[in-house]
Amino acid sequence: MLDTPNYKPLHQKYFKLMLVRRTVFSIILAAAVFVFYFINKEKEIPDFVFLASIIAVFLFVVLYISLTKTIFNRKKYLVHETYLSYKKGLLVRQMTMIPFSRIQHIEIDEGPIERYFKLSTLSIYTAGDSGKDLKISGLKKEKAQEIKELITAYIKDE
Amino acid sequence: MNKEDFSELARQSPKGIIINYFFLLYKTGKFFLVFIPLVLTSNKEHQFEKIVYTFIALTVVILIVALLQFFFFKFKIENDHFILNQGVFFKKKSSIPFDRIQNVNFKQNLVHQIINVTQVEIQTAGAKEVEVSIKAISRKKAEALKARLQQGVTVVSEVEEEEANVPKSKVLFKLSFLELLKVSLSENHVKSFFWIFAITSSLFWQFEDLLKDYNLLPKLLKFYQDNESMVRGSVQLIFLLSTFVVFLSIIISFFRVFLKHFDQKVSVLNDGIQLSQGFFTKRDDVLKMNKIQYITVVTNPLKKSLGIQSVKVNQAGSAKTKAKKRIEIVGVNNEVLNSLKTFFFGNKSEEEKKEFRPAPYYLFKLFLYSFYTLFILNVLMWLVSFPFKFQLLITVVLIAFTIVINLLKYKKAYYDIEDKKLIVGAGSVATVTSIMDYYKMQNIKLVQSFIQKRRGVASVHLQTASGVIKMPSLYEEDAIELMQMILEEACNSKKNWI
Repeated sequence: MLDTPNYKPLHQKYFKLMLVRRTVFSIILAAAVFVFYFINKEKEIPDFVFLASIIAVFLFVVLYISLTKTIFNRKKYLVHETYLSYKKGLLVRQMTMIPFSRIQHIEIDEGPIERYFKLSTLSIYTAGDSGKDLKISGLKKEKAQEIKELITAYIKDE
Repeated sequence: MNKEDFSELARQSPKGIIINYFFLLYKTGKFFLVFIPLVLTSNKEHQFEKIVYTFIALTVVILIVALLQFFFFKFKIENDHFILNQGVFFKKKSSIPFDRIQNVNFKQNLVHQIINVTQVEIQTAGAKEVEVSIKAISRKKAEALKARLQQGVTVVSEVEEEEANVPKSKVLFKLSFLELLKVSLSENHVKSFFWIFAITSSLFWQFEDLLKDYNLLPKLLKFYQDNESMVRGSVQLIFLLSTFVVFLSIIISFFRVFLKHFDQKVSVLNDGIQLSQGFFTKRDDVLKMNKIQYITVVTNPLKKSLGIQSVKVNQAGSAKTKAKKRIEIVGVNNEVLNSLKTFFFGNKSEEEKKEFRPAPYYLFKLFLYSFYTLFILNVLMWLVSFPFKFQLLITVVLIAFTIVINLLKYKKAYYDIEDKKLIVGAGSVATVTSIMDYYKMQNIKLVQSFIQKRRGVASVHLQTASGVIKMPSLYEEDAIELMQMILEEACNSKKNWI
């Protein structure tokens, strides 16, 4: 049951989306450092502090962007006959499984950047603690719709 | 039967004004408690008069609000719906269909008991969980209302079972006064010790300004430095103080348990059990069979020697109402425990048992976390320049303590699969056993950090409709096997989880 190798990767466009998101975040972070520096100019922060923070931010950004591919590759999903599974995580790997019969409702939504890439996010809700259920981003709109219909049909059959 | 038919919009018993009044008074009082240190520290003229005037004004306002609340609170029953109108300025009309009502519970606090009325709480299920409570009606009316409200529920179950119409209730067990004393005395008093500690320190921070204003803190410190030998010599004082704190902790937890579980009675209904208990606040709770997700049996060495344990019943519910829905039955002896288990899970069938234990890595992880905590604590003590001798003493004591606790934790952790049930053992000094019909799980998660990955170990988190059951650090093969068994059962079982 678990060792099925048929886990599918997310849509390739989602990798681009992640890259865009991460680049935007990095630019904002770098800008914040400069803004902070200029605001506190009179306080004469020593140059080495400024330099150190630039280097730290630079290293973080390099790591943050270069790990995108690995993080993307770790995200995989599986639609089995009776359950849905999702794998993710870089340092801490997680594999969540939800039986179809426990699903209470399903949502499909798309943010502004997602809409540009024609992707959507599938959110699965069970009766467990809210916020701890499943959220699969980076599915093609039609694919998300397909999974939703499959599960809805299964629940109706029960 | 009662003649009450609730067809007309009616108010609560006029005594409800008193209940509203005390409830508001309590809420406002709690709110103003925060300002007490502020008032005490300011030194303005006519302060006493001001306080008295404010108090009188508040009391009058509260009385008016209580009256308004009472006059605008009306309820009735119409077309198998419970209809409630409330609100003075913002009108709120609720209408609850009978078949959505899950439980009707009664509650009586001290004020209720004195003026002889009952609070009725109506719990409903649905996409959005709502809870309605009628603050004060007579017991007779409350019973009649409960009977009317649960008509819908009975009609539904009538289809499945003919007998469901006749409500049967049989007392399963009643906690005697002597047993209650045993239970209260054998409680975990360490908890209330920490409680005292938290309150004292929060009080200290609240009064910190006061201490600063009168230069009390430096004076105290100076006194300590000047008389260091004297203070150090006064072992007697420290001994006395600690005895007092220990005594106080025991008293507090004793009364907490004693008052909460006073006159505890468990009765068996045909689709669940009823639990009534309480001294000042009397509660009647109904545990619906199908809503129960899992039970947790807790005992400690003291309780074990007395042959008693407590059973926590976890019911399905949203996170908000979860704490309320975890209902505790105390002073359960082995015989009653067995009949409760049979009642919740049915008869035991002889099926093979599968046992899982955490990998030795779990022990390593426990010690690693303790090490971090001790390290941070020591850095903190060093930062506030704590006397070195005390720091050493505290550290040594804590090291010994954590070694014992961690070894116990490791020893007591197990995850068994028996007869389609998951039995999870946990606890250190106490022994905590959770039992669950595992087809009821909502989702299951395998969690593995990169260190765990290297060691071939993984944890399993089982999400239920009433919180999460964690099974830390199993061998990877074991974790996957366990997960597979649970998932298969949840996918294939035709039984409803609620």
